[in-house]
Amino acid sequence: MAEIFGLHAVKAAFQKLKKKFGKDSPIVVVGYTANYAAYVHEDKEAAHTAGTQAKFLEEPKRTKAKEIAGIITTALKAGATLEHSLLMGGMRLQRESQQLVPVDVGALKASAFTAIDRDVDTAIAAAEGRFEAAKKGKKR
Amino acid sequence: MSLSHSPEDVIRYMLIGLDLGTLPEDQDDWPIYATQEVDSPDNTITVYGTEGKKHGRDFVEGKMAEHQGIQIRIRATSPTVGHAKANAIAIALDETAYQDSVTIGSNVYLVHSINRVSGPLNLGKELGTRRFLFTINALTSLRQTT
Repeated sequence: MAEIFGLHAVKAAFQKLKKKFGKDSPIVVVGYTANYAAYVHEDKEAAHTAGTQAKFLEEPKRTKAKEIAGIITTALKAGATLEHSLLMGGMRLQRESQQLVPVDVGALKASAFTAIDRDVDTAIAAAEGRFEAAKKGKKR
Repeated sequence: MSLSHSPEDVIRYMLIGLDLGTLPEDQDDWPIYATQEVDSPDNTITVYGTEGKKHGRDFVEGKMAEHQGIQIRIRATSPTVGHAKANAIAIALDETAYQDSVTIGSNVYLVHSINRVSGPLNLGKELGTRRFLFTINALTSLRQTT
């Protein structure tokens, strides 16, 4: 799982996108750091409580694509930088996704992050902190 | 777009046609199911429907142009066996599956294309068992011809 969703894979994907769009183009990533996030995301067999589901990131990415594009465009027109506009779009996707995340103790939900590519290490570290804190919260 | 069978069923029959699995009734290796995975045998393929990608309405006929989302889940007794099967399916989707005609009973479907979106993803061991799971996600464009 780490081979596919690990940080090195995310960075490799960034490099590929940078090559495609030019090295100065900002890239925003939305994801989850919980080590079981991919399993829950991909497990269509699992039964979840109403309103939560597998494919909690992929589905809003597809269903809300136009809305997110609209947020980015509106922000750009209002004078925001491309980086800031993309971050706003990413944050919206994260929020939509978090509404669908299956919640057991809330650790998976807490491990969500949105970051610009140069800040991805910091964002992942912060998300991992939230994930650990949420896990500890259950034990008390 | 109205189909007599679900996209996951059509893709299931397409994979059988490509010799990547068998019909469950045949009691052979690698049975392929649609929508719901069964507990036995261990080496099993299941095709699920996922959210597709809508491209808007056709101006002339008013039909919605859409790529259907599918997930192919491979369950195997060992990671090696599972990976080999997942890889074979991924290669077939990328290189072989194109303008495939799929017959289910009296219905015929044309699978224009399948675009692999992600995978094979190695999900590790299935919860509660020692079987290994892999998934492949794809978008497909298909239509019913008869």
